[in-house]
Amino acid sequence: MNFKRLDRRYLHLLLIAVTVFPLLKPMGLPISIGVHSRTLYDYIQHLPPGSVVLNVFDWGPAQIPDAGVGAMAITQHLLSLPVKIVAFSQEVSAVMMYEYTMSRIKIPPDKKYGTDFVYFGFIAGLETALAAIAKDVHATFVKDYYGTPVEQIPMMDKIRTVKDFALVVETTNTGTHVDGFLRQWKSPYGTPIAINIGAVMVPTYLPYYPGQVLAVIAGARGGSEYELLIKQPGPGVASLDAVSTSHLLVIIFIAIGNIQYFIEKRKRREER
Amino acid sequence: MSKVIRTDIPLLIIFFSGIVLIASYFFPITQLSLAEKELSRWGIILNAWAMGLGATSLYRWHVGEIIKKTPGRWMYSVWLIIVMSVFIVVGFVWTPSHRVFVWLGDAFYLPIEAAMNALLAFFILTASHRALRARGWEAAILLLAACILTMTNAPIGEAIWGGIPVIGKWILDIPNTAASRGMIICVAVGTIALSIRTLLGYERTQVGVQ
Repeated sequence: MNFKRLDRRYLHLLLIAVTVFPLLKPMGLPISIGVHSRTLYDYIQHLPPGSVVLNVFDWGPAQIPDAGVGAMAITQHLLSLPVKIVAFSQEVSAVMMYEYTMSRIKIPPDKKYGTDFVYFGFIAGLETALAAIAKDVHATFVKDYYGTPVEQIPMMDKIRTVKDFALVVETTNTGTHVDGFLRQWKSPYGTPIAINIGAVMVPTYLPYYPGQVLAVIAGARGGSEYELLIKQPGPGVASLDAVSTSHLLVIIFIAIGNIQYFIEKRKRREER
Repeated sequence: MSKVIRTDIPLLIIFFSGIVLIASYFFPITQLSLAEKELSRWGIILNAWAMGLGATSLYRWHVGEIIKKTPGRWMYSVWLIIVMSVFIVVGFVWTPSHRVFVWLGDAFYLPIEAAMNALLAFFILTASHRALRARGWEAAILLLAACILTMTNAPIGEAIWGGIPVIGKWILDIPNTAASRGMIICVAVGTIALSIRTLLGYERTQVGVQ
């Protein structure tokens, strides 16, 4: 049987089967907690009461099953602690992910918008905007996402510059946003920065760990570990079995393709 | 347009803006800091304008496609203009936080982008048995590293053999980090050189001079 000529639709059907099956009947494969998830969890857990965390939503719908898992788990963790959350986005398409996240996590009844957390929507300017926020928060975050002037938001009274932030959590699927924070926040002011990024981007940002970056949460895997750390297993943990089976299928097909390649190569050599 | 307006004045603006931004980083002088703040605000406003300019260009190009009735393409241009106009009008009339705009995003944009991304899985699977070949030693090492890292990210890798995540972590922490750090430093040095050339006006492509 020549796998090279196999109708790709059969492969696609197989992929659907190995992805859907574990979602319907979870295998419950053990998930070990990595050093990055543990580091970020411990850091957030030990933030002094009243600390301000900048939670940046720079991920789109495509990242829901990847970096989105961590974004939701980290936001949930932050909301469970006596800390303040300032959120914004550097991507237009990321704005809807704030609403998506907040509608899916449990907001504790004692947490109020404007007092404990606030969202400033899309801010244009990328790295320039980050530099501007660092110097003067109120000059850049003029109004929140719902149109309320920054002066009327109670929690923003004491948040004026980069020095008022205890931590930045950047969730993104591209490197542009991370680079800006490293250059405009970490290098000049030393603000701790944690990255929650799509799995494919992890090798690009690991070299910044541990000097410039506090932790690199790796896509669905890192997010699932975080879900387990906050003791709220959710969509991430549920999806990891499907990740396992689909990844294994890809590896099997790489192996089959290569075995076939070497058999053909040997045949050609013998024919000569 | 004279050369002075076209190139010399923009180059002077670039020079002074760059000098102010660099100086304010190194010297804590109030006036410099204020100038830097103001320049950053201009940067944000210009960036927002650039997005508007992009939308206008998109409209112009697609209206041209419709007028020319480009075979096989014009109907997509009509669709793009309809969708873009709906989003813009709704966003302007209400606000992006209004439930109608949120619904548009949730009902159309969100599933479309998620589905587009999900399609990648099928391409990867097809490519995995048709294209990913160990044609030489270098390709074999690359392929092996890719397989180990793929299994490191999935819990089944650890379940099959406890050594997989250990090797995967070593690949990421040692060869990957060492090589990437070298590249990052090289890029940083190159960026400094390019910035100096731009500030001094030797690099002129940004003002349309080749």
